[in-house]
Amino acid sequence: MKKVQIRILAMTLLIVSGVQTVSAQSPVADSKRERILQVLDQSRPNEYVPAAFFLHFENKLGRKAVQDHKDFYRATNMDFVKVFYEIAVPKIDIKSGKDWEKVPVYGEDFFEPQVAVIEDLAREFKGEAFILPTVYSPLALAGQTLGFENRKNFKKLVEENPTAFGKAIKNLSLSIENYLRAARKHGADGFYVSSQGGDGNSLSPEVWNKYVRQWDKHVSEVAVEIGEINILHICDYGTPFKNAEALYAFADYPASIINVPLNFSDGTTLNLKEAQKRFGRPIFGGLERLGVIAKGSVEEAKAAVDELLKNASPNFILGADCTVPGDTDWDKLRAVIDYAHTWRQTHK
Amino acid sequence: MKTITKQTFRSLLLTAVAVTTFSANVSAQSYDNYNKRELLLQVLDQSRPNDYVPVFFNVHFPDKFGYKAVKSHVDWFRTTHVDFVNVKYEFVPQQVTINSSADFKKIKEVTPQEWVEQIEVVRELARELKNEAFIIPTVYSPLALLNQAAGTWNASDPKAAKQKLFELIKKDPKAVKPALEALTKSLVYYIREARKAGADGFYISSQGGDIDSFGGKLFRDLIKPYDKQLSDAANEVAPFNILHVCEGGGHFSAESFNDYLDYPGSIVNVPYHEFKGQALTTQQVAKLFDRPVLGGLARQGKLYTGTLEEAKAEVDAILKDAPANFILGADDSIPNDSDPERVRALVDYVHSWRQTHTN
Repeated sequence: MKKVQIRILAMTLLIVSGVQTVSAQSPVADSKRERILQVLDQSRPNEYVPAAFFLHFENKLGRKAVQDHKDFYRATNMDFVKVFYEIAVPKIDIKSGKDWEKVPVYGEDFFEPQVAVIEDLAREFKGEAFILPTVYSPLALAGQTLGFENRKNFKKLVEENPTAFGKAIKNLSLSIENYLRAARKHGADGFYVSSQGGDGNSLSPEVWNKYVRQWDKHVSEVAVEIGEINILHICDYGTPFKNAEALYAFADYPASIINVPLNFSDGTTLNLKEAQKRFGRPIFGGLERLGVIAKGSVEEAKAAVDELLKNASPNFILGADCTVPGDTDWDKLRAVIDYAHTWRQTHK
Repeated sequence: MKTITKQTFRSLLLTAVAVTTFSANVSAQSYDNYNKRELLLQVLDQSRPNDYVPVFFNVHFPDKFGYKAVKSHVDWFRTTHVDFVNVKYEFVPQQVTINSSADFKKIKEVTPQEWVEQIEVVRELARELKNEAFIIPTVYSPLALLNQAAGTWNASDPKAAKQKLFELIKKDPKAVKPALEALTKSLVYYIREARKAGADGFYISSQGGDIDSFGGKLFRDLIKPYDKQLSDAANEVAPFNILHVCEGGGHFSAESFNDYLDYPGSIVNVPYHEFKGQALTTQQVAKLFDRPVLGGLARQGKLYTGTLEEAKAEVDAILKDAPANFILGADDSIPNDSDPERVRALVDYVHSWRQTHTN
């Protein structure tokens, strides 16, 4: 009798469990952390398409900044927690090229307010999603050092004394390293490393190659040494890359995923499938930061996602090529992100 | 000793813990708050080598089903520190006598209710361990199940029994197709049900016959269309699958692998020994399949036959030349009487190998 009962119970269980449907990478018990990691499986396309957009918040640091990040993450349903980099290195009065030598290495303590935001967000979300703080490049920090008014003299001040400029870049890179190590110790899982990103394309190739590149790359190397998963953002803020080949010059920068610019100054656009092949890594991005995601309706944005995902790389995360405008409608972002998540399951 | 009060002892202990904690360095893929699931997924990051090397060893347990089988699996996972829970395939649905090719008709599709016991093991293990590690059941191939049904594995002379079966199949390949189809359907059913019961992926044991008899054209024409369906089904329903190319006692050559390159699977596990003098290295396998590799050790390596020091030396040699994305394991189940404590010593050694052997 007992055996019969067990049999009936087992059958009932089987029937009940048989009702749910399953699919590859279906979120049965998988967290957003695992869904991002699944994108790294280049033996097949990721069926769940993670998505993330970023915008600068009104509050930069402190409790209110943490709250903004939380609200944005929850409201948009994006797949990782990207922490904005909002701490600027002090302005230094650089009148001549030699003054670049005044730039020091900033220690971990300098970054404390930024790390505090990371720590709070990690406490809240680390269990469910990756905490990926943004990291600016040494060049971007050199721009901060100059200050906004002096930035027009940037090129001139570099060329006056490239060696001193190289020292400043090195010190800034070592400062960023201190930030990365502090952030990792306080809960960051990895980093969104914004390489180049200070109008490096306006520098002469000689200065870029001799004084900047190795220290720009150093940031990615440190991130990869200490972080579980890292995204390399190849920033074309300021001056676009000439063509795709110029972009592929970054293929020796380490990182798990590449966030790419889309348009080049010669009028060509990036082929995402080709980009995955050339970088040998999954691609993140695809939408233009000032395109329909910023200005269009939800329907227009979805149509752009349709077009994009039809031609996306097999291993892909949806996003923009950089930060979207601060006044972008959060509900629209949510609609687009939710739409992307199931797109490959609904458009076979 | 008596002078140390309980409180002093406790504060000493706390200090020791604190010192240990703070002296720990952070490193990529360091396991501060994440689990073996993420450590395994990190192997898929082909932009860099995984500096934590996961390990997989498995044995067959005396208890096949029920509570005791579940407990054996849990104990093995806990004792040996291996990095995922491999659920053994132990189900023998049918036994038939095959004396002529007409007898292949006797092999039937396995009905859903017959799978209950095997699926319950998956479900119980998922309940127990899914939060910390992937639950990855083994799936046998249609050809293996054909052998199982025909009783060649348990025959008094397995080699002769296998030979007899193969002769029948070769003589009339068409006649065996309905049997292979029925077995394939049954296994696809198992994959789907096991996924629903909590499996995260599958260890797909492809081929599973004697490659000497079933390699080449016969494999491609007769076996592969069924065999590959299992990898396809696993790939369709589960996030993390391992393709195991099982040699089944035959002799793989490097070219034999070409037939498996289009099989899906996040990780590949192939045999490394018994090649006709042209064994592939783990790096060559990784390149050929363009995927991370599980393997490196033979089934009966020094872990079984030698001292722990010899086993470590063997592992040293393998890891020195391993591909960037690598999980260490044997090319099949290790002997059932392997000592779990010894396995654990080796597993622990491997986990931190890349962090302790930087050059």
